[in-house]
Amino acid sequence: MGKRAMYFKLLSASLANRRARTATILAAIIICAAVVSVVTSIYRDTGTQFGKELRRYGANMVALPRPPANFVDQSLADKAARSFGDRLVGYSPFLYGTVTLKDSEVVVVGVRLAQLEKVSPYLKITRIGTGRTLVGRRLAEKLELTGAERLSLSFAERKKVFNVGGIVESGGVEDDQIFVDLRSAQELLGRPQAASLAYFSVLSPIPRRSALISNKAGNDHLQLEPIGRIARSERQVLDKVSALIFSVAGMILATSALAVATTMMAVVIERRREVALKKALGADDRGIIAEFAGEGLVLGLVGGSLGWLLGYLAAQWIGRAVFQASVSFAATTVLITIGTSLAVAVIAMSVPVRLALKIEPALALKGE
Amino acid sequence: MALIKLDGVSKTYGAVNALDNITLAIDKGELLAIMGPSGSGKTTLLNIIGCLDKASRGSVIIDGADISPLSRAELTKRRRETIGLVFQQFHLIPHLTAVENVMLAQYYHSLPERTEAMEALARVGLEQRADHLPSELSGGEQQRTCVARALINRPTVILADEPTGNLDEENEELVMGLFEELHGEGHTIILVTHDQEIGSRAGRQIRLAHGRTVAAGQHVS
Ligand SMILES: Nc1ncnc2c1ncn2[C@@H]1O[C@H](COP(=O)(O)OP(=O)(O)OP(=O)(O)O)[C@@H](O)[C@H]1O
Ligand SMILES: [Mg+2]
Repeated sequence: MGKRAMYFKLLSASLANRRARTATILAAIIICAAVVSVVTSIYRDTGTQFGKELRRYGANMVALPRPPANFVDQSLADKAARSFGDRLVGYSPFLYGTVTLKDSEVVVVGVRLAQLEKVSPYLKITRIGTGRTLVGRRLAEKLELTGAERLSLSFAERKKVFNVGGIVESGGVEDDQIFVDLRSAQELLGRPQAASLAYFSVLSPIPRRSALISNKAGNDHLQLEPIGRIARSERQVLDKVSALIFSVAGMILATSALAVATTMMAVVIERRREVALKKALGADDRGIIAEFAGEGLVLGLVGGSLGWLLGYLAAQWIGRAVFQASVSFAATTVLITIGTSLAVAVIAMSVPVRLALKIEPALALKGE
Repeated sequence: MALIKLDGVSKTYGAVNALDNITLAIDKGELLAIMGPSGSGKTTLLNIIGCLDKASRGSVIIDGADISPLSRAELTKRRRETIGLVFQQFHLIPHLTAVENVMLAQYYHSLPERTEAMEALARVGLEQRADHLPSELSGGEQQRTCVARALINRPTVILADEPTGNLDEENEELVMGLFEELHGEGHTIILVTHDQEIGSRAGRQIRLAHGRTVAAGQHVS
């Protein structure tokens, strides 16, 4: 038997020697690991889920032309949208213009019709036909629209015909506007590749990268900024939720560490004669530390792994129950959970180990 | 030249004088019995010779080296190289077998070696019981395992504090016989005992009272 084999023999003997204590410590570490696992999973995945919930409120970023420019270059807005990667929930440029319809003036809005509900979810759209164009509710009443109709819009010398497919209602200015396909609006208004502004719906927290785009694109006459009120309140909600989650997790962590530390203290006191014997047989401080640290590592590793599994399952359930989404497996969560458990176990061991180092070897010869 | 030499050794615990100015020389190969009433300082003396504790005053020379100025860490190193210990309460690790308990002393000393540990167990007549846990051994067998553990690193001196204190007469006889055999082979052994009969089997006795030696070699009834 080599030195290492004897070391592991001693470790397993120590752990087996006090099953109840080992179980207590393991339970404390498992609980702590499960909490870390749940929190990191939820924060990582459902933090995103939570952001998605908030995205029901529509666009939270806007790109505006930077003066003296009057229009946003659509290709730049597209580029900005691409830079958000998979955090982009919805995006559409908006081009506004005043056109003539049956001798009166109306505001026409060129948008990506497929994205309209994502960036402006407060619009209530009622389908009335197969056409793509949407007419504001008040305007539709004024025009006495009864169903799918064709509307002829003219601007300067140009004229275009649109098939009405739905009524749009918001209770605001949109009720007097006509929403048409962006490309058609650009052609009609003679503004190819141009938009008045562009709206983005981006998952919170908005990546810092956007600040870079803002500056870089800013030079190209594009001003990208969060829609103040919405972005700010989203951030506040997220910050409050995470502060709450992290403080609760922190308290559970501290409690587990305390439970491990006090249990180990009891173990050291119970086994002070055994420690004294080992010292009497020639164990030095390093040897004593190695044995306790080894126990800490084993308990941290086993407890951390079991706790991670438990937390992963719990996170699945919470994800499904609260956010109707499954929580994906993430290696970082495993690492963070096991790393935290090891840290808790080793830190909690440090006080009892100091106690063990103080035990006098002479105690071995003392009568009961 | 004495193997162990104590010169003016005192040990105080607060106001208690556990040892008071002890001067003592022990030759190589001696079987020495330390006797005296409870609280007279026998264990304290053994602790100091065994590098388990430090004297408050005086010098302790083992095998030509003065151990009194050594730090605790240095004492630990000296202890595992020169001292073999046998305890009244055996102190075997309950979840290790007899042979593993012997190997534990090797582990802290240098390297665990099963064949050597088995030889030591054979020396105390326990090779058949090597793979049993302490709970499966009789008191006498446990104490013989302890003797094997004390022998395994070839110590300069074996210290035994009341080694037969927890044994019945038959096992006491076995263990004492073992010490006599080891003495015959040239081992230096220091034995603490209350028992007059056991003390008389030693080559020499010293008697302690209130931390001092009294009438070395003489029997006081
Ligand atoms: N760690 C200590 N702290 C305070 N006093 C101590 C300590 N160790 C021993 N003493 C005292 O020193 C004296 C000698 O104790 P020691 O253990 O050497 O006696 P002993 O001869 O071995 O007794 P026994 O036969 O009962 O084992 C006693 O009065 C004891 O109370
Ligand atoms: Mg004693």
